[in-house]
Amino acid sequence: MSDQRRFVLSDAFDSFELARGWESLRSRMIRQQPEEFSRPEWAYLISFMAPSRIEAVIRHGFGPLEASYPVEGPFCLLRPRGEVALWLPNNVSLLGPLTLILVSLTGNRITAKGGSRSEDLTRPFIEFALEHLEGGLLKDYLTEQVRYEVFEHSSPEMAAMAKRAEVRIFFGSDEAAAEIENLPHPISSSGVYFTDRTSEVWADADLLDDEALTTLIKVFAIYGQAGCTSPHRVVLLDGDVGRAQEVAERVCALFSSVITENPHSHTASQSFLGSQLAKAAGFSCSIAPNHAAVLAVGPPNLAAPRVSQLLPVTWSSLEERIESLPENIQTIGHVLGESGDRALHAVLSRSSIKRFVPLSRMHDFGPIWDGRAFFEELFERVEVDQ
Amino acid sequence: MSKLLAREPYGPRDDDVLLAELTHLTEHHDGGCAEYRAIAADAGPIRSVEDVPFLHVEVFKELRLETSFEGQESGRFLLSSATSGRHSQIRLDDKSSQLQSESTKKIFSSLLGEKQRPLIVLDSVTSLRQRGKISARIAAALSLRPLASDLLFALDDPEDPSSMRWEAIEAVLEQNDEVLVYGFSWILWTSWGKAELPNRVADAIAQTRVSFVHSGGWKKLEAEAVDRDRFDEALLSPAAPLSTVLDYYGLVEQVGVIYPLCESGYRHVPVWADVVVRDSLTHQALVGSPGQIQLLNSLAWGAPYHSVLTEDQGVIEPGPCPCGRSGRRFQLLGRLPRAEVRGCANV
Repeated sequence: MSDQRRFVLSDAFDSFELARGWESLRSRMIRQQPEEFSRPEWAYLISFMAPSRIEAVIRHGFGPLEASYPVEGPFCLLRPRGEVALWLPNNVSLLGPLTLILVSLTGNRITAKGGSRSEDLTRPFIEFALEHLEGGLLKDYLTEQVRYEVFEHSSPEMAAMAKRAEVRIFFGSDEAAAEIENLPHPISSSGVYFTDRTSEVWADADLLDDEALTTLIKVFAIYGQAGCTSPHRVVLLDGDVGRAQEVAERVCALFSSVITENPHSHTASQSFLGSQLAKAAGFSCSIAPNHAAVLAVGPPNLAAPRVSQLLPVTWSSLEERIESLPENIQTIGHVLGESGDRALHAVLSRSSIKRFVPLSRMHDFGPIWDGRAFFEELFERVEVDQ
Repeated sequence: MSKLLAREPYGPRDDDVLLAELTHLTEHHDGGCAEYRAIAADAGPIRSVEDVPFLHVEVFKELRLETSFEGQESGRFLLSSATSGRHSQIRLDDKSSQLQSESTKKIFSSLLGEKQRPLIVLDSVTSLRQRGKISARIAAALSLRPLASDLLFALDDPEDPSSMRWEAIEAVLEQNDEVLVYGFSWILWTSWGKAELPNRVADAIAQTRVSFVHSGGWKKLEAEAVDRDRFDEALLSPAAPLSTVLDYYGLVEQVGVIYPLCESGYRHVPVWADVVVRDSLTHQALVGSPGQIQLLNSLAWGAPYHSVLTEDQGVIEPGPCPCGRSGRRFQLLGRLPRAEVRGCANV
């Protein structure tokens, strides 16, 4: 029997060469930004594509890689599964470009469907890459192996995608995921569904200095309430309404010095809407300059409106918070000192959380997505013992 | 009751009276609607119309607001059309309905004359049959009822603009020199403007003076690259001389007050209403430069929709209008462009 701990990449595709392609593109990205991207989005993408990070994805995400094929002794060859169908959500963000980069490293063909009601960032990113790459494996791959399309939900192409693909990756609602899963698909294929998830910050109010609040603003502002890894609320463990109010006011006071771009008019309008809905629900609201964000303070059992740039701040004991965590909780970003160990132990044993990471790492993409080893789904493992 | 409703809609304004009525309405809703009280709790004193607290238009999509008051008669809920899948719900109490009916009657009369004539509604009679609710389309059509001698619902299927009852329409046209036709803009275009009229209808309409009235915006028409000139020409060319097309702006969250487009391209504000344009970021009131439109009226008692911040953009034009109407006027610039919500899974 082969040694399952020794993985070797198929020589049909050079993931490291492709990673170098992304890295060379990154150096062009530093000098030029497509207008479709906001500055924070482009900066996040550049940071994600740092040489050390992409290579680390291959070395650690794929498994303990030993060497390239051929290699002596028993091993497990990682072979791309074929075609990956990728359904992107309507509120597409960097998710399309990030997923494209990660899946590309596996050598699988990609058919990506952009949201039919969205302005998607995947297409401008591919166009930017094709324009600025001078040649090589990545350019060939993007030209020949990646298809990006936008069509309506009712299009027969939906079923055609599912029928062709060995892996279905879907981002969206539970209902839409079920519809995709119900489409006829190869019996050997598998589905990876990323449905509605929520995340939150747990903090010791004493540790929320300006640096921590600056991090909170950066982590929150990029997606607002729309990101599954974005804080949907801040919970002050063992805090109280006074501390929550103080945190909300300090975040608002700092906001425009951290996010210096003015909000889009519609974003500001929706923040105003959020503040009114929150007040009607019983929250007390602090509003950042230019309606860039709303901080809503209220007790933990109060349901907050889901408005993009509205961040509820509440307080709770650790025990009560664990008891009331939503079923679809994904990430807890922590700003906890010595109490962090106790919180970690308790939440791991009594909740279904998928990630417990420092606040600054809430949006970090790694090989584990929603508790699943993402890359395992993208390879067939060939057992070899010569 | 609004004293201002006794005046001509586009006559001299008495903004002191309007401000007093808006202030009274604000206090009325503050006393009778808990959600409004919570939202407007930190509002300052009202010294001018710009100080009147306003609700974001989408609050009515999320909350069913009602203001309790003595003698209140419970009414139906008016539902907006919902391109986003979510309806606004506006409570129609008897007192407000009476005022709103009087308001639209006076506005339409000033534009179309007071003569009664048959009203052809581009909708189906089945749209009337919703228990406890009334759609924006039907409400808009019925606001012309005071000018109608008779009513004809012209569609068999409310969702199918091609299901026109041409024989019934022909009969109305043959028996009358003048008719009113109301439809949502895109329905009027699809079912009538770009349709091939049956020969007998074409013959009849050539002898009939038609006042086409439409509302509901141009979004779907823009998708078909239909501009206003083409729209009006398609409607007017088959009809008898002196036929007209009237486009008005209105929203269910301001039911009873409509803003017709004048021949000079401006929307006019009746004396019992007002408009403020605000910077989206700071909410500073603007004159002469574009911003978000806030609409106010002194007719809304059953729920606090007397002052609403829309997500439409406009610009207030100072000075008198070339059309001769006095009072406030503005240009409607369309919807506030939507910011893409840039997140991941929760679509």
